[in-house]
Amino acid sequence: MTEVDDDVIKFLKRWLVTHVKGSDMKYVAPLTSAGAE
Amino acid sequence: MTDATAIPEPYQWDESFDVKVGSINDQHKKLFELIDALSKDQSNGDILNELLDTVKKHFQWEEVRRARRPRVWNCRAAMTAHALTQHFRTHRTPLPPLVPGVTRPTPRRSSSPSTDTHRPARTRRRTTSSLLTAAL
Repeated sequence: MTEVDDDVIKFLKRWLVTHVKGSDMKYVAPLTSAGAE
Repeated sequence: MTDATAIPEPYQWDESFDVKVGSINDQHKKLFELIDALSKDQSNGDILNELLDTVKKHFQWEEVRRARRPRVWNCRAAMTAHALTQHFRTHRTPLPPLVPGVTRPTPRRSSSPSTDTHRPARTRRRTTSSLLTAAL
């Protein structure tokens, strides 16, 4: 793959937002609570 | 009312994406920058490759932590198990009278405890089934 189109960009933008707010926000802090950042 | 998962415009990291872990916030900021840059230069292979590498490293970080702390990763399963345990504990509390106003007879106790010492230890032990029978 050497280039992307608008649909891919739209997908990437949506993916990152939902990944951070829907997953990482819930699990990252507990996973690093032992200080293993 | 604002949609929490709305795509920000301009496309950049802000405090609503703060996960309270600096290194992960930095990874997310980098991902925002790369996706934004790629959207402005869709045929730039260098940006695309850097984005793919960054995504890969980000998931590797999560997988390593997931493997180190499976109990935390499975916190939802644990909470469900805890809720079930609490639920079953409620069934061990004394049962209410079957007929209102009529109390259950108190289990008979030996008036001379000394005689109990002659009974085999096995029969003195109160099993779960004997306790249940006494309660009813």
